[in-house]
Amino acid sequence: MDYAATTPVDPRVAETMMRFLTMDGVYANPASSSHVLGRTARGYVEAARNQVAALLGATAREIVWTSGATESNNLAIKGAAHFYADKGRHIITSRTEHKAVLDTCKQLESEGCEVTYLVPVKDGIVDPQQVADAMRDDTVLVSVMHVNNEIGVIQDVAEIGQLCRSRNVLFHCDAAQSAGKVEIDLSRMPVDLMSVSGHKVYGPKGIGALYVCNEPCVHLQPLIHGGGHERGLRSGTLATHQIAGMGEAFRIAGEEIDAEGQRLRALREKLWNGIATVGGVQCNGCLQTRAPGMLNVCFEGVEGESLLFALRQLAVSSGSACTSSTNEGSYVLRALGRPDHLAQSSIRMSLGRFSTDQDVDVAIEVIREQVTRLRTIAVC
Amino acid sequence: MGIEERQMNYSNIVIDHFEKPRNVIEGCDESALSGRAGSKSAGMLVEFCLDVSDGVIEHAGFRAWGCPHTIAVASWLTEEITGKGINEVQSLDLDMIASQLELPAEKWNCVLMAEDALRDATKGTSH
Repeated sequence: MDYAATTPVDPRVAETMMRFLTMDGVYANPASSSHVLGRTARGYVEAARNQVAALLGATAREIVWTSGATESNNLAIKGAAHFYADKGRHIITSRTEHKAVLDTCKQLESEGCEVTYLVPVKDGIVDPQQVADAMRDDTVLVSVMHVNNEIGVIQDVAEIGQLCRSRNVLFHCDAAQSAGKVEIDLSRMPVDLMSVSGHKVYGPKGIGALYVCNEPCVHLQPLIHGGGHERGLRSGTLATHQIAGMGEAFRIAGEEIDAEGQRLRALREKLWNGIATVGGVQCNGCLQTRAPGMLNVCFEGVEGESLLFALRQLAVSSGSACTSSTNEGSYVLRALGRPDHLAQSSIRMSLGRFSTDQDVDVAIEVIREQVTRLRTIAVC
Repeated sequence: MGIEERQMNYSNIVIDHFEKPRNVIEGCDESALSGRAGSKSAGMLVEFCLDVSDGVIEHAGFRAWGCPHTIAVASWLTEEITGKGINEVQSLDLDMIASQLELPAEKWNCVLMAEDALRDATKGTSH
C-alpha cells in the first residue's frame, strides 16, 4: 500500500526495456547519427518522447529527459531562476511541496533569491488568491505541485497557471504524483514547466522528464553541461532502455487512466469507510479533491511509530520520523495545522494497479485490530 | 528513518513485548501506588500501577503511549519488578535493562522515562 513511494515495473514495460538491453537488441547510442544503429535507437527515444508528450497533452519537442522528478524540479526551478535572474529574484511556492522543490528553493535562497512559502488552507489546497496576494513585481516563478505526495490532494493548477500567465510569471508544477493518475492536458492548462517521473507510473526508476513549454517559449539555464543533448538543456548520453520503458509506461497509463481511476477510487472509498468504523479517525486533506488511490489518515490515541510498526505487513508509510531527538510529525501535516501527536499518528496508504479488493479487506481488518489494540495499551 | 531501517532496530524481545504486552491495566485502584512520566508532546508517556504489600510488589501493571520500545520496556519491567522490594525498584540498573532488551542507544530514553514513572510511583515510600 505504498504506490505513492514507487510502483513495480509493469511486465509490459519490462518486456519493452529488454529489447534495449541485449546484444541483439537496440543498444547503440541514440546520439550516433552517423550509423543506422544509432539512428534506430534515436527513433525509439523519439517514439517514447511522443508517448510521454501524449499523456500530458504536450508536443514531443517540449519533453526533456532527466533522471527523475527530483532532477526535473531542480532543472525547472534553478534553471528558470538563473536564466531570468535579471528580471527578478522572487519565487513563490508552498510549504507542502516535495523536498525536491523546497530544498531547491532553499538553495536558491542561499544564492540571494527570496522565496515566499504559502501555507495551504486547512484541506491542503493552495487558494489561487494566496498566490495572487504573494506576487510582487520581481516574482519570476511560482512552483505548486499538482498532487501532494503525502496527502494526495489535487491543486487547482489550471487556475494558478492562468493567474501566472496573466502576470507574466513562470509557473512550474511538480506532477510526479499525478501523471497517469489524474488527467493532464497541457494544451489547455497554462503551465510552463512540469516535472514527471517514470517509476511512479509503473516505469523504471532513474528516468523522468521535464515539460518545457514551447509557446510561449520558456528558457532555462542548464544544470548539466557536456555534449548539448536535449537541446542543450540536459547533457548526457540518453538511457534508451529507461526512456523506452518510461514511454511504454506512459502509453499504458494513458490507455487505462479512466478505468483505473474509477477502480482505485472505489477501492479507496471502501478502505476509508472500513477504517473510519474504528472511530477517532480523520482524513488528512480534502477527501473529495484527491488522487484516486491516495488516502492519508490520522488515528487519535495511538503513537505514530508504534502504529507504523504494528501495520508493517501492509507496507504503509508515514511522513513522520520518530527518533529520540525529534518527535515531529510530517512537515506537510504540520503545515496544515495538525498538532504533532496527530501528524505523527498519520499513515499514507496508496493503492495502485496491482491492488485488489482482497488487499483492501485485509488492510481494514489489520488496521482495525491494531489500532484498537494500541488504544487499549495507551495511557490518556 | 524508513520502515525497514526501523524494523532492524527492534530486537526479538522488544517485538515480543510490543505484540504481547504483559500486565496492561485499564486503571489503577486507589490503594495501589501509581506514577507516571513523560507527555504525549514529548513522544512518550508511561504509567505504572503497583500493588504493594509489606514493601514487596505483588503485582505491577502499566499503560503507555509511545514507540514500540517504550511499550516493550514498560511491559518487561512489570514482569521484572513483580516480587521485588520497593528499595530494589528504586535502584534499577539502566544498563542492565537496555542490555536485556537490546535497545539501540537512541532508545535509551525509553528506559529513563519508565524509570522516572516507577520513581514517581514509589516516591514517599520508605521500606
